[in-house]
Amino acid sequence: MKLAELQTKFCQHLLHQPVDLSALNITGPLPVEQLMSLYRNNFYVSLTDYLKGCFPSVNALVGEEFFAQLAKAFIIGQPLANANIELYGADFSEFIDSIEQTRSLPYLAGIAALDWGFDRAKGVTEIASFPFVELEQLTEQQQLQIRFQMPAETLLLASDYPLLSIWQGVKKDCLEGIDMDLAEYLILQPSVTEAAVFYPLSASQYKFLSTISTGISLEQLADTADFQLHLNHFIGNAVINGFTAGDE
Amino acid sequence: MLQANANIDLSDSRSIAEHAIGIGLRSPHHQQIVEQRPQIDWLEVHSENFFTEPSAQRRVLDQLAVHYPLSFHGIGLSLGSTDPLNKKHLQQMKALIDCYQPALISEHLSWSSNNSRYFNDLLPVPYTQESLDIFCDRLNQVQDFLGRALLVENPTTYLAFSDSSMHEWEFLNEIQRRCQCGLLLDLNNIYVNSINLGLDAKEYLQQIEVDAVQEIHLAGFTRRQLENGQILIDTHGSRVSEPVWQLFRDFRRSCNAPALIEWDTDIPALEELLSQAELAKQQQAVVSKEQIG
Repeated sequence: MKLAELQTKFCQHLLHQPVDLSALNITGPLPVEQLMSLYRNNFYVSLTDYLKGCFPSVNALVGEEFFAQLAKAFIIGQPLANANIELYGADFSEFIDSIEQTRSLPYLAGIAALDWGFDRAKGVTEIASFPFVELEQLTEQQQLQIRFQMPAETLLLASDYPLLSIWQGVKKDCLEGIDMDLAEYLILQPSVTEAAVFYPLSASQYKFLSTISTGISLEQLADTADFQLHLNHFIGNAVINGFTAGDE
Repeated sequence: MLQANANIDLSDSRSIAEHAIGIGLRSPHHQQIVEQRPQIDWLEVHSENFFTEPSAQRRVLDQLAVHYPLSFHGIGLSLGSTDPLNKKHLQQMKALIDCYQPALISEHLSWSSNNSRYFNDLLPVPYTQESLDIFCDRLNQVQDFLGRALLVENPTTYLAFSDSSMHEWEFLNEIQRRCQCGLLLDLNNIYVNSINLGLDAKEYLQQIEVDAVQEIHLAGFTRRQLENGQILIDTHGSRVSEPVWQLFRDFRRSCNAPALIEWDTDIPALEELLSQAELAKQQQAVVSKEQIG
């Protein structure tokens, strides 16, 4: 058998696809199925452990057994596209939202998004301050064309559920007394001192920041409700920390 | 604090002395090593964990590169695969190497990708002429791209292929000969394979091209009971076992390459790793005494 075919069949077996293992001409101290199961288990266990590390609140909410099933389905459905595992899991929230088995926990996908956002924010080591001097150096016409920026790994979330309360409740192992019908808007941002910080937002603030994240110009942004109020607030609190010139 | 890619003084980082004993740098120990700077001859990192820049990991590496010689140990090149080489991965690796100029760069005799899908594992290669040609072709491409020779590490395998036409040491020696690379000999892997697959460890150490061995790995294994028998698993999650120390003493009689304590799962306190490194020094001191005597 050619090497390419052998490797394809080997991988198909890891992914639970039907393969005639006898064709691989494997030998060893145990039956072929058991030898192959060592590789298969290692594949799922290592990626499941990695996902567990990225999504601790999801794991706490659903329990180890269900998390392992979720992870396995995700691993099979979402190939690891790079040897560098670092970005694997970015679609886990979307995956949770798409499957029937999590319908009874409608906030779970949002919690996964928060877990992921927190995990990513931890890796940010530098957060720039707003460049007021550079802004002042632009002409008025140039200023109208700038596009505001938020720090890398900023996450904006809108949910029909009180995600932040649930997420913090999981951390404290206490979910009692949370009003599950409370819709919530929030922002998560990296922080040099605390890994990540969370702010609850009003609907109007959320809309403003969402608009900024689409990359529209200051001239267009000026038409949004409470523009000046929001801009002052978010630059003042370092939620907006930069801009790009219109032609970038 | 130093920033990634700043002008790091790497003057001591480009060579690792013979008989030097290092440890694998793992994230639970980052802060402690940065703050306490313990007496360690050299550090080895998993290259892929440091690709992202800027990152907290890179800041740690910036600080440690000033004080310790480094070795970069890759797990993602998938040299034994029939897939095309991952150019992005190679570029990231080159950028990391260019930044830190590690003393050693190593990868595995294994594969981990198929049809562009990665499996986060080191999968076994059949020791055939076709595998050898493919592996050497890819390794040559990588070495040409990086402008440096790699070390290739012998794997742990839980199975063998009856299509294999040569011993693992013959396969490695041939890779070394064709690619002019170095070898990284993991003595725990040899021991685990000797128990699981009946490989002759002593013959392995006699047959391997000893002059090409530029690094030795020492690690622990786990014994797992399965339905039809017992098997050793290369977990890198425990102390080095006595049979592996014995192999180390035996091999030290002919090989002076630096050695590394590798511990990847159930990572203990740094002190435990340092005490394993100290034990490695004691083992080689025993051999030196015998040789003098």
